[in-house]
Amino acid sequence: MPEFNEPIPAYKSALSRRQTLKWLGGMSAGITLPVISGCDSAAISAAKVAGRWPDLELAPVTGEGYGTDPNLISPPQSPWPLTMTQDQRNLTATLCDILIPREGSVPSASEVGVPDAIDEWVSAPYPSHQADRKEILSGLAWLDEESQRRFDKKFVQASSAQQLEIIDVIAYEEAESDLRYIYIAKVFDGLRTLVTIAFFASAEGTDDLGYIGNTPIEGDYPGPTPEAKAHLEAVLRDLGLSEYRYS
Amino acid sequence: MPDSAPGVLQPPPTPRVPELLVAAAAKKLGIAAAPMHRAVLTRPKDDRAACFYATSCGRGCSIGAAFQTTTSLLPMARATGKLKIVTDAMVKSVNVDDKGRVNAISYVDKKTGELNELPAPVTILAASACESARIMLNSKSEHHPRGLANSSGQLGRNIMDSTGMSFSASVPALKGRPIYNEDGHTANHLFIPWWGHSAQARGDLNFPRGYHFEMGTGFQAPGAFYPEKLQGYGAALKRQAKYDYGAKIGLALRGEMLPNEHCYMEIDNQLKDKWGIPVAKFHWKWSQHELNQISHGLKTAQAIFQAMGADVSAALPAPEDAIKKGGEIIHEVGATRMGNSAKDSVTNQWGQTWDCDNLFVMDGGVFASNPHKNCTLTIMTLAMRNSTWLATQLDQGVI
Repeated sequence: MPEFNEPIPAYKSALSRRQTLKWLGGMSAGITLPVISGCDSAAISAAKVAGRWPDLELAPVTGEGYGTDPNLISPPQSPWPLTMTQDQRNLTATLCDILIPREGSVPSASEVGVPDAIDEWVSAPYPSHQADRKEILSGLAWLDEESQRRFDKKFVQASSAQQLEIIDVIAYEEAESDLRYIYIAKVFDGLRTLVTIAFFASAEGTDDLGYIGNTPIEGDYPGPTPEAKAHLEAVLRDLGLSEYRYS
Repeated sequence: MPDSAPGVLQPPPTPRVPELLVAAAAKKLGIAAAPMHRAVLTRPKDDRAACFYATSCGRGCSIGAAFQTTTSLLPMARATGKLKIVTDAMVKSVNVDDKGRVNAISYVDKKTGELNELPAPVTILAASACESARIMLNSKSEHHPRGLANSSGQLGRNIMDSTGMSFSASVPALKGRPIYNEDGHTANHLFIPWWGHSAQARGDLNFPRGYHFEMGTGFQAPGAFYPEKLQGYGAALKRQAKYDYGAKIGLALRGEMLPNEHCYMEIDNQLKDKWGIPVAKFHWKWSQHELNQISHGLKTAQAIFQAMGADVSAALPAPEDAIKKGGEIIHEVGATRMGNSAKDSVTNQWGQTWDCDNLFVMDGGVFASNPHKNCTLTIMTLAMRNSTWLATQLDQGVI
């Protein structure tokens, strides 16, 4: 059972704060963790009790952020301190690579530094980020506690099969109708969205996604390729819209 | 309204696949889409280049293709040799002489914090509708006890914003489609202008005025896209995210609002900004006109998505919940409205205040109603027209 003796590799950042802050800026489009919609506070409390939710009480972050009139020419190197502990970063890295593992020559989420983006996300002092911080860090604590309950060890120390035994319970829509798992499933869904968006916003992820754009074009914008036009024609035909084609 | 004459507008950029799909779905409902003609050049003009379809317009356009004051207007003004720009100047008040005519502007130097004064034989305020009104409300004097040029009591009243509502969904037919460069000039190439004039003339609609739909579509730069609710993890998760990429369409309603007595601003007597200038506070209430318009927009958007084969069967939200907050669309106008009479308006048709012949307002504050089209082009058109009139007045020695 080598996993008991092997030290858990610590996640280390290879990026500068300016790189990760820029990344965060590119990710800031309307992402918040889902709440349990349509539920009153009593239902949320019941879900937390049934799910043994840790509900961490966190000391407020101290950073002031960029403020309302920042100096854009020479921005501060680090407008807030990063707040995740090394254990939290290690666990985040493990989750990142469960969500987006290496596939052939395409690196995993942790290999491109996604845990740094998540640390920036939860450390930013703005209200929506701080609301996410409480849920995400409580979610990390829940995973460790669940792993302790099932396997008597922390999540990162569990075997891959053990880790997936937990993730399989919380990673699908069915968990959201099980009172024991609804809360962690919602938080996991939010974290999954953040990790996915951060990964595809990295240079390697953008290549993997196939995004072609932000490239200077000389002359007129060419519009859809012949292949894309053919696809549109098929869609219009299938939807009975061919006669309404824009001209 | 007739289209612009040939040669006035530059050629619009080619529409993209999701926009063409929306246009066809709308046409099935009898609604026509049209080129958007944003203020982005597709042909060079003066010393500005045509769009190169890269970098986000909202972050500033280094080649000057997207309209912005710094590259599109200030260079022309500077070339006259008559322009002096004072930067980092936060205007505190517009001051008057013992006859109540404007004679100076007080401003805080944001770098030193000092209060400075500039002599001002003629003053044009164009600080944006609510800020111009705030400056005027903060400029009380013996001749202007309720704020500068406020004998009508209309200063800070009649504020309007565009109505706003968003409706978005993932369109299954667009999933897994061929990827190409769909950036274009960042935002809409096509939009849906208001189509209901004749229905309103017949009395078929329960609201006056119109709205339009803008379209948010495409293979946008990663980081800004939000895939459908993801499932699972690992290779399957990534496959799903890639498959859903570029399938989301958002229709954004922007509509016309009518002024009402509940939408106004006043000076907060308690709170000052960091420069020591009293801030404005706002009062807001949509009328039934706007709510009925939003209901109509929700049903229309739902029908367009249905025609595209999207699952939009969920119950529509109440218009009170769907409408954006007042001020959220940032098209605020009307705080210093123009009119035919000094009794119920702040300026005349030239943006000249009724109470002070050497004080003009040339921003959205002078609007008597709010067009559903974005207000900037109309603001600039009025400013050019009114500046021309002001120049003749000065030449003739009237002012």
